[in-house]
Amino acid sequence: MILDALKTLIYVLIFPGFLFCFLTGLLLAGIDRKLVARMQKRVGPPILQPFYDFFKLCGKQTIVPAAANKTVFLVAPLLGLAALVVLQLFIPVFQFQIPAFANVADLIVILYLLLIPAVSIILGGASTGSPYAGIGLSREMVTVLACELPLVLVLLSVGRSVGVAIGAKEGITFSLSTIVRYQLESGSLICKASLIPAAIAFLLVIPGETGNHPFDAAEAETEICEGMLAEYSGAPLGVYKLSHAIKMLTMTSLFVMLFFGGIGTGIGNLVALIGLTGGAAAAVTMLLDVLVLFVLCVIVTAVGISFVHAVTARLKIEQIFKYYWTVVSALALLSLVLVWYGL
Amino acid sequence: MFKKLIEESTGKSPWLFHINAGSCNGCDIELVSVLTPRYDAERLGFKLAGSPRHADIVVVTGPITQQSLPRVLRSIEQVPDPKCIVTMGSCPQSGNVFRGSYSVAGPLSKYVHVDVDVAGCTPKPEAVIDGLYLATQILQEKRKGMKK
Amino acid sequence: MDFPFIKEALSQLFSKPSCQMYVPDKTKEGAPNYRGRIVFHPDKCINCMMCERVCSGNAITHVIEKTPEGDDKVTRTFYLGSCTFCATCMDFCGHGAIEFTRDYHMIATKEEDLMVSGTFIKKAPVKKAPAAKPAAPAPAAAPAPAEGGKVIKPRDDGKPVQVPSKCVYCTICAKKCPAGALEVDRANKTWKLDEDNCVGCGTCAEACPKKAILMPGDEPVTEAAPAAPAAAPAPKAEEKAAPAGAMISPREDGKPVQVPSKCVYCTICAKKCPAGALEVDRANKTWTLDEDNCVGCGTCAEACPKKAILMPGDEPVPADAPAAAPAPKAAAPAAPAPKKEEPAPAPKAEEKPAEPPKPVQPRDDGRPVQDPSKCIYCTICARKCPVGALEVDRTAKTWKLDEDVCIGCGNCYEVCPKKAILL
Repeated sequence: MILDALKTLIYVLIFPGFLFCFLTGLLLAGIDRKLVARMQKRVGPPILQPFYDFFKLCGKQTIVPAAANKTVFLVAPLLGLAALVVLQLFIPVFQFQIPAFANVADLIVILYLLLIPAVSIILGGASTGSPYAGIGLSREMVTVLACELPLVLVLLSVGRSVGVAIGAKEGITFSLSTIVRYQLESGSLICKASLIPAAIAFLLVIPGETGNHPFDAAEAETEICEGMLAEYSGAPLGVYKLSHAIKMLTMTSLFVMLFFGGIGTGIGNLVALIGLTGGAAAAVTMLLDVLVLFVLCVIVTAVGISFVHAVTARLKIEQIFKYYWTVVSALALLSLVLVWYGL
Repeated sequence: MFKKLIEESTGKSPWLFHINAGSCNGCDIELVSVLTPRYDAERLGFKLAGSPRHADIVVVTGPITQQSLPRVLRSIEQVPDPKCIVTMGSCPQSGNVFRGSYSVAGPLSKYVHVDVDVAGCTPKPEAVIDGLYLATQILQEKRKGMKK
Repeated sequence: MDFPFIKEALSQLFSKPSCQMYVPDKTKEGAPNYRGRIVFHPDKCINCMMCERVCSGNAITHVIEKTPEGDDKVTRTFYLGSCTFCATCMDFCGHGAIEFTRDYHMIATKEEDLMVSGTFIKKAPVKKAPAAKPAAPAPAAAPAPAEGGKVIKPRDDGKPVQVPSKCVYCTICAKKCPAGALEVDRANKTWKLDEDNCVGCGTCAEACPKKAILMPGDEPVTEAAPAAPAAAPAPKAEEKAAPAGAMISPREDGKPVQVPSKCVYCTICAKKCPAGALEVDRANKTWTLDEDNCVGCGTCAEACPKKAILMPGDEPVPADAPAAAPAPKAAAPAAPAPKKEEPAPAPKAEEKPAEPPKPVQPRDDGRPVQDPSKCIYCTICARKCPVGALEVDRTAKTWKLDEDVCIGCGNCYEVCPKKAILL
């Protein structure tokens, strides 16, 4: 009982939980900044720059605006961070999945949890009473709405595809662990022609969901003073920056699990080949799995976030909405239709 | 350990907030040129922040006109500690050619403590990097003094 | 949507960054001709204050202290925080005491770090301390003995000396003096030097149109006739004599004399006079000189298109010499007679006789006359007239001169291809 509790604590605080998110998320953000700089022919900041930023912000004075609701102002960032850490717990690392979450219909939970960071930032922004935050939060809501439709369509098509293949009762599955397990047995979903439009659509949803360029109208620092973050300073701001970095990790690792889930297959056999058995083998397999996941996340970040950032200019809010509900949704819908007819 | 980490980081991640207090735009352009690929101040962690609440270093350009004075002072107040104020170009230091005009409220040092002066009209981007680098060191010292 | 930078982003990802890896501590020089930190050479400065006067940012200041020896200890300070680095001070410094370097590292945490200053001692007028006292009154007295004395020598303390015989009290030197040390009164004919303020820069000597100021190194000048003021009344008498006598000769006090027979009252001389001492009325044909304001600069004589103004050194002109020309033509015998100071009645008398005679005669007021037999009404004269006094109609074959506008410049005469205009 105590052991179980301890185990859960380790899950939440260390491995797929907070510490893991903190380190990999910020590292991913650093790599993103470096890649963007290199694409702009600059040297760019050191890869550890987001860490410096975070710790510096922790050491700064926190100013609470006189007009703000102090409780909401300070709790909202933590709420968003907590939601993201929980979200990360639901995403398996290839074979590894927290047992308690294994059989929950997790795609739907992920969809819900993905909304909470956006809601927290809107809450925090609204509590300050700043007009910049007002504009920012209205834009943030539109962005979230715009992203949600293609995201749901992508998840539906993936779920249907796997559901049909494994002969699920309802003809569709929402269990991420089932999807990953299916890929481990019969190859990555990205190899399936009917799901390629869905993969592209998901790739395009990533920068919108994380609020990255060119879909950062909500946080446009040059026109509305970073929108909802305009009044934040010190540690709460640092937490928001951290949430943003972790969201990048969450979205990219979700992408990896949905479409590249099969790549982790060989690693277990590879470890067995070296001659390791038992606990050691499991540990090394796990370590390699995490490494592979991280490398894949970096690749997805490079393609889906950094590259898009480097080659585009910020879009207007109505353009973002139009883009997601036409181009991206059409891609996802195409995939869904193909999958529905069993292709 | 955290204290040391924070002190280290303070010097490596200075975010700038730029206030134009009636500048002729010359210094403003040079400040932006510091962030261009040629000089790339982001190498040293510099970043332009959109809001004074996020800033560590306030860069003031222009001779502080009567109209801008209250806004400048208010913006500087909004910056959380530790903060550093850098004047860029001759104007905020003395008024330069605008000195004595009825609409110029005089040097910035009359109202707030200025940490670093970058002289020049306008300063070369290298000189701006020099000044900002000095400001980050002052920032680090201020952070060390804060918790004692 | 259009993505024009995809290729560049990808190629730059694998190419060398174009960053100049600037390390803040390193000392680097600016580009050639970069104007950075100012260097001041106090040993070259003569404290003429020119730099302070031209500085647009008021960045240059000075402090003067008295040393025990009575010398001035001058500290000149350049505040880089107020400098526009326009280098005007460097350009104006005649002694090369200001220099702009290529050092751009002008970073300071204190205002004092941006100050560039230099101190030098400016010697009192005479080098030896005891001699300094008598030195002060001496130059003040300098103009006084000059009136009676023979030779005016330049002073050896670097300050200017006036040569009264040459000076026309035009006040140009006082206006140009950067230190405001000269006071010249035109009416009372005085030239006063403020010994304390004079910095000995020599600007006054350069500006003097009459070379009436001596600086060290100049040749001593021998005073000719004892005193110019004495000469002043003389020409007045002469002027009055001029109409009576046959000749108009130049005055000896350096002021202009009009030759009425040549003058066309074009008013150019009055317009050019820097002192505003001339008053010319075209309609009434009067030419009046304000004796008090005239500085004798000679500008009027140079500007006169008819050479109708005599300055010292010019040849005397017979008063009625030009009058001889119109004499035969003018039937009225009274015409040449009133060639005095008021020629106003003269043209009126001439206008009438000018019209009736068949062979066209040139007018004697300097204005053009058309010869209808030769004129082809080509309008060239009208187009070339600088004041637009001519009106020529090709179809109606008319040639009209506006008498009030014409200045008698003779342009029409020169351009006429048929020589149909007489002067």
